[in-house]
Amino acid sequence: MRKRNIVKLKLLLFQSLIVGIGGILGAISRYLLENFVMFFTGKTLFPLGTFVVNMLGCLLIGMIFALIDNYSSVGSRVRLFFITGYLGALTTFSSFGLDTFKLIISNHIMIAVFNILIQVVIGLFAVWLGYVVIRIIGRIRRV
Amino acid sequence: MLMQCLFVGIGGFFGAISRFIISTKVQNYSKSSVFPYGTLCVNFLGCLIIGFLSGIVLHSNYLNLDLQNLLITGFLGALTTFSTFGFETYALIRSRAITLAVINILLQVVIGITLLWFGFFIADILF
Repeated sequence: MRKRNIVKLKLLLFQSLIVGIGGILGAISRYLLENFVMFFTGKTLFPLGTFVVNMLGCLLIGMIFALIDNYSSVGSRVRLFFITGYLGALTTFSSFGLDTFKLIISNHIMIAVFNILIQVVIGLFAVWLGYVVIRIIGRIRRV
Repeated sequence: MLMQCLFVGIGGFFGAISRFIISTKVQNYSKSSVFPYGTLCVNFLGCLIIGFLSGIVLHSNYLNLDLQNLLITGFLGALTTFSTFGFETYALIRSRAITLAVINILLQVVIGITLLWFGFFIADILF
């Protein structure tokens, strides 16, 4: 095996480890948060647990990308750990899909459509909000 | 609770790494760095599998709670992502590619749920 390929493989393994550890924390955070929400609200028709973790993840990803854009000293390892690893595991599209699917087959079509619309719209809004808040804080600090 | 966290965490470890490798390879392979093919791919895969596994859970008892936490909550939950999808759509909107943003949303949701239904359908037949 060429030395270059070995170096590339070692880098990939190292990056994967960073992502993986972020993933462990993100998945456990999601699990605990969803249980926490369910503990307070009981079993609801609308998938509140998935909604909360996804919207939180969108807010945070906006904030972290703003940090990366503002402070270039924040390295790629931070991006791998927090965004790819942690936030990628904190949020979930499969649960979102399953929740929507279950609503559809139990004849709650309106709530299914509502779930899709509200998660997409508020999710995008949360990304924008997170980004803008960090940018504004950055500008205030520079003044 | 602690044991369940362990299973979720292990699944999350492998799910996140799988997402990292698959989405990077797919995105590199598709020369267009603008459209988020990588995220589409992992989310589609995750939807298909979660439909299938949910069908198994419904029609049999092959998957106990620990396995569900490991495979569904842990692995698939980490394999798929909503935050990256949200950010990539936001990035498309910010760079004035509104049509692509709308297409991304529609593709993700429609094909995602269709694949989920398909996985469920297959499990329905097999179990």
